Amino acid sequence: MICLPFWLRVMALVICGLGGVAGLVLSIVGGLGVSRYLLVSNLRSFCGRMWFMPGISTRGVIVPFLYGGEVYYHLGDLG
Amino acid sequence: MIYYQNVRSANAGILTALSNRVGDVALLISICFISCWGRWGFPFYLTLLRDDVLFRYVVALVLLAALTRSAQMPFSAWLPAAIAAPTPVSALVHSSTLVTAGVYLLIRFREALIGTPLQSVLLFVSGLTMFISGLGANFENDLRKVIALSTLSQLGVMLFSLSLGLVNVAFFHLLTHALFKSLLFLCAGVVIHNVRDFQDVRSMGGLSGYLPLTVSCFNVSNLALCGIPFLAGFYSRDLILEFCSMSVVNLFSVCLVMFSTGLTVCYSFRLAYVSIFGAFNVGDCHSVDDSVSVMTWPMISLTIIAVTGGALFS
Repeated sequence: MICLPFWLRVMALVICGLGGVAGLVLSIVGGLGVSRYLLVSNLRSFCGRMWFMPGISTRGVIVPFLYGGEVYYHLGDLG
Repeated sequence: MIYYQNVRSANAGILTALSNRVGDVALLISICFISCWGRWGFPFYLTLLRDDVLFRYVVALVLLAALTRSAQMPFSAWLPAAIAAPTPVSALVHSSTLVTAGVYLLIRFREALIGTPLQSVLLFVSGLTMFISGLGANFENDLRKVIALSTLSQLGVMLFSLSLGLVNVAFFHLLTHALFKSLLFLCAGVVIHNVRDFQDVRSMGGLSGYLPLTVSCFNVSNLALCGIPFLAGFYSRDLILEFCSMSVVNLFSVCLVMFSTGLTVCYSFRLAYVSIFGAFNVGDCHSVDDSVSVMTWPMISLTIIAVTGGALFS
């Protein structure tokens, strides 16, 4: 049972409309995407690459353990 | 998905396999824990053993398995990488089989999950996942990667509604999402095949005059994904949003889910505009048409289901 005031009830539709207008305007005005308006390229790459998740879960889980292995290789007593 | 002579495909396959192994190992460990109780019929134990310490570990491990399988926040890198697979494989994997297995696992474990601190963890993680995948899709130029990120966003919506306690709504959204997402991937496959295997949306444009049937089906599934009224996505998505604004949730999560809904519509419209309605941008010396009945009949039937499915299931 949905029991909400009017504006909360149509909020989903309003947000859909706003998002659609934003998508159309950004692709018409900005050529492709919003790249021209986000002048800070660091912010663009941060948002566009899913907060660097692909880098973290590939390089980020390999390199520290590889270097850590080397450190422990030299620390350890090899007999 | 793994093709050993293609470095990108092999890397994506290794990332996918290793990310999923984390969850598989967690699931195996939880099975070992359950063996302490003598039998594996876990539905009987879900309400009986709520205060058992071991049972909390089991639920946490199952949650970890579901998060890896549904590609939620710390493990979300493999789903956009897995688009190196052929498009029909992506249509199967992204819509109904692989990634929704995690959601279904949590639906089965709902009684153990709801009311524990893990529920707030799931709320936070799924909200963040749908936000960052929606944001990432707005900056993406690869057609199939945009659709993969939208799958990730919808998985976040499903787990979000699950963590609010709306189990039936989550399952309903799982079903409707399977309908329009498989259609979206089939249409994307036809489009990519027709523009000579270019996946970049910048190499497409003005396709609506050349692929009328495919583009119509593509737009219908795009609008169903957005939650345009009376298509499949509307019934489940709107229900989730209304339940979210009706129940007691913190402001941060409400802002996340509302903003990512807007982002979903934003990247869908951007995708449609750039690939379909722009100027003709496809390289010449080849024919662009959609008269292959092997491809069109599945699309037409899936379009009918995607239009009527939400009303039929609800």
